[in-house]
Amino acid sequence: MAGMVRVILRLAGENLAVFFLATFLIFWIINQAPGDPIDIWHPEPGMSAADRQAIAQELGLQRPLVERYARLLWRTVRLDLGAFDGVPISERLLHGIGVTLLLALSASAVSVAVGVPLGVLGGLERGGPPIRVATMIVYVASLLPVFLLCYLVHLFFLNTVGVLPTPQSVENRATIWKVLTALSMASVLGIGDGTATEILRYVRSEVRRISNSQFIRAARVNGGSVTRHLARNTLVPIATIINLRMLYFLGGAVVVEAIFQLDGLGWLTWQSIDSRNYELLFAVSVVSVIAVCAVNLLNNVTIGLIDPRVRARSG
Amino acid sequence: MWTTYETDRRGPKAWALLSSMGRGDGQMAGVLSLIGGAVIIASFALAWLIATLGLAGLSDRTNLEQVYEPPALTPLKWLLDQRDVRASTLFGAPPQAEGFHVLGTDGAGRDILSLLVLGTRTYLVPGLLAVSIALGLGILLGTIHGHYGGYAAKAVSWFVKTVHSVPKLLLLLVIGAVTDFDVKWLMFGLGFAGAPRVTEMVAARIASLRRADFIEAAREAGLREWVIVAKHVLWYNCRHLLVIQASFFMAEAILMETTLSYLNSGAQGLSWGRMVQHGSNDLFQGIYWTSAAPAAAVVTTILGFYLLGDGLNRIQQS
Repeated sequence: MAGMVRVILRLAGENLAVFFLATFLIFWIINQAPGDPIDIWHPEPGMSAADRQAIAQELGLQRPLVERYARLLWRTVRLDLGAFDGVPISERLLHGIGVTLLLALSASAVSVAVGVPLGVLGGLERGGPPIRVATMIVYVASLLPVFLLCYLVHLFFLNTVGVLPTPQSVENRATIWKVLTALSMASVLGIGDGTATEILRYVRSEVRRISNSQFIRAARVNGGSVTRHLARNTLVPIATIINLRMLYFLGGAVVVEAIFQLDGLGWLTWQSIDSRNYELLFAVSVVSVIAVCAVNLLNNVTIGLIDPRVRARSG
Repeated sequence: MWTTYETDRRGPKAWALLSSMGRGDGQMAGVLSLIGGAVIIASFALAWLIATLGLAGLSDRTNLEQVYEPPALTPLKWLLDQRDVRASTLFGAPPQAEGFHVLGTDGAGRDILSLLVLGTRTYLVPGLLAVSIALGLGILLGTIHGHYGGYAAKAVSWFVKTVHSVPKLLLLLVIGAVTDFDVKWLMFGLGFAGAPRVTEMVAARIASLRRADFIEAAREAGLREWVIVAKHVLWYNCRHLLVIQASFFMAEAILMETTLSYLNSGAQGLSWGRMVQHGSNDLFQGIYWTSAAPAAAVVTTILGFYLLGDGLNRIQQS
C-alpha cells in the first residue's frame, strides 16, 4: 500500500514538473512576439521615456521572465484574467472546456460505434462485401487530412440543404439537420483523426485471436456465451485507447471547431491569435497542457499499479 | 525508460493497414508502394523544379477576363483548343493568353495548374527543413541518451517528456501567432516537436546494440567511441529507420502546413491549403474545381510520402 502511494506521488510530481516546463516553454515563445507591449496597451503618441518606464513598471515588464511567468500562471489558475469581447475570459474558458469535452466525448462515442461492430464482424469473417467496403471507407477517411473531411462534409451539406453545417446556420432548420451537423462534427473528429481505425483494428485482431482460442471452443461446446468472453477481453483496452486518444482530440478540435465555428477551446485559440490576445492564448495552452498531463498521469498510475516492475523500481 | 505517448503514429500506421488489406506478398507490395510513392514524389519534385526555374510560362498573374473558367479536361474540348494554341508550352498557353486551362481558372482568372505547380515551393524546402531539424536534433539527443548515462540522459528524457506534453498543433499555433505564420518558423517548430520520436528510436537502438558482439569487437580493436557510434551504430544500423522516418515526417510536415494555411486564410502567400480554403467559398456557386484540384494535390502528395515510407518499411522487414 505504501508502495502504491509512493508511485502515485512520484508520478504526480513528475507530471507537475513537466507541466511547469511545458507552460514555461509556451510562455517563452509567446514572449518572443514582435512589438512592444507598451505600444499595444497605451497607443497614445508622444510619450516621454519616463512615462514609458512608469508604464513598464506598472505592467511588470522589467521583472525577470520567470517571475512574470509565475504571476501570469497564478492569475490563470485563479481564473483572474480580465475580459475578452465583453465576456470574462474565465467564463469563456469554462464554456470552451465544456464544448470541447462534449465534442471529444461524442467523437469517442462515434469511433466506438463505428469501430466495434466493424471490428467484430471483420474478425469473425462475417458480413461479406458491405462490411469490407465500410472498413475500407473508414480506413481511407482516417488517411485524409481532417480539414479535407470537413470540406467534404461541407460539400454534402451545400448540395442537400444549401447551408454550411455550423451551429449558427442550421439553427432554424429541421431537427434532422441539427442532428446531422452534430454527428458530422463528431465523426469527422472520431474517424478522421484515426481513433475509429485504431479501435477497429484492435477489436478485429482480438476477436480473431480469441475466437480461435481454446477457451472459446470450450465455451461453445458447453453452450456458453461467446459474447461475454469477447467483451471482457476487449473493453478495458478500448477504454485505454480512448483515454490516450483524448490528446489527439485536443489537436483535432482546433481544426474541427475552427471550420464548424463551434466555440470550444480550439475556436478560442483562433480567436486569441486573431485578436493578438496573448494572455488568452497562454490560458488556453495551460488548459491543454493540464489535460495532457492529467491523462498521462492517469495512464502512468494505472500502468504503475498494474506492472510490478515499475512499482519495484520506485519502492 | 520513459513513457511513450503514442504521438502521431496515425498516418503511417493507417496507411500500413490500408495496404495490408490488399493481402499482397510483403516484398511485392513493398516494391509496388515504393514505386508508386517514388513516382508521385518525382512528379512533385519535377513540379518544384519547374516552379523554381520559372519554366513553362507559369504565372500567378490575375486575368479578370477569364474568371472561373471550368477545367478543359474533356478530350474533345482539348483537341478543339489545341488548334487554337499554336505556341503551346508545357502547360498550354500562358494563362494570360486566350489558351486553355487544364484545371480551369479561379476567381481572379489565374490558371489553377500554374498555381498548383508554383505552390510546391511552399512545401519542398520548408518540409526538408523540418525533417532535417527533427533528424539532426533527434540523432544528437538520442545518441546522448543511449551512449552517455547519468545527468545528460536525464536531461534528454525531460526534454522528451516536456515536448510530448504540448499538443503539436497547439505548439505550432503559438509559434504561428508570434511569427505571423511564417512557414520557416512553423517548420522549425515542427522539427523541434518531431525530434522526440527520433530521439526515442535512436536511443532504443543504441541501448539494444550496446552489448552486441560486433560493438565489443570494435572496441577491442581500438576504434574510437565516436567512430563506433557514428559508423557502426548510426550509419550501419539506424540508416534505414531514419530514412523511413524522414519520409513519414515529410508527409506530416506537408499535412501540418496545409492544415494551418487552410485555417489561417488571412495570411498571404501561395499554398494549397489556402487554395482549398478560398475555393470552398466558391462552392456556393457550384464551382468545384477551385477547391477540388488543390485538395487532390494535397492528398496525392501526402499519399506519395506514406507510400514511399511504407514500401521501404516492407522491403526492410521482408
